[in-house]
Amino acid sequence: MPLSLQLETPTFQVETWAQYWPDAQHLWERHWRDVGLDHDKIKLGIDRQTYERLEALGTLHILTMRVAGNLAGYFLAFLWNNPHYKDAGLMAQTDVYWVVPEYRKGNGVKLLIEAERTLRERGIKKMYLSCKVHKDHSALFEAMGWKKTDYVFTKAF
Amino acid sequence: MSDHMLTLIVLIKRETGARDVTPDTPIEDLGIDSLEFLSLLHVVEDEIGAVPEEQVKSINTVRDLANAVVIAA
Repeated sequence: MPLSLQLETPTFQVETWAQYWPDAQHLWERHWRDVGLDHDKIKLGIDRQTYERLEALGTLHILTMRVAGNLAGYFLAFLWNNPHYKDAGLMAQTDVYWVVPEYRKGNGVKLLIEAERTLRERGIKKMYLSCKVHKDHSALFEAMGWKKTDYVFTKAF
Repeated sequence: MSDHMLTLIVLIKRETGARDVTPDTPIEDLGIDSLEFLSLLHVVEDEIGAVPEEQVKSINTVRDLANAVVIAA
């Protein structure tokens, strides 16, 4: 593979919050504008300390996509023992996922496949994943073997 | 060019509508999105051989896809 092409191809890696946040902080506003709702009522404000605490508890999973070292996408999940199923094992609730628009073109599914794979490596028994109604990825999720099981509603006050 | 590569290129052209496909063609130049890329992988698995999940992240060119496919003995 030509060196120029090698530099353009994405890599996927599990990272710590300390590795992720310095680059991610510059993308979150754009992510929020792209996907988030209720901008007039709920302002973006990342609680870094909470994420750091969750990581210290071993309950945060961060997978990144980088191109030439630059952060181009990410998938974050919270790990927990669902109190409904105390003996079922560890489960993962997706927090966020996003790929910088310039780096999409098929990389989103790679991010999701790698997220599943790395979470299974951590012993996850079940994952929860969602998407916005206005950014509906249902067809992709179902093609990946996910089952549509819940409808989620929100209301901002 | 191996028969395996030729078979794969024919399949890719058929499934994506891309015209100029070579082993070095980047997947992103096939004009497909994530769902179409996944569909392509499923067709490759149906017609040629398995694509191990851990290899998917490294498939950036047609050659990478060819190298990732595990052909049953």
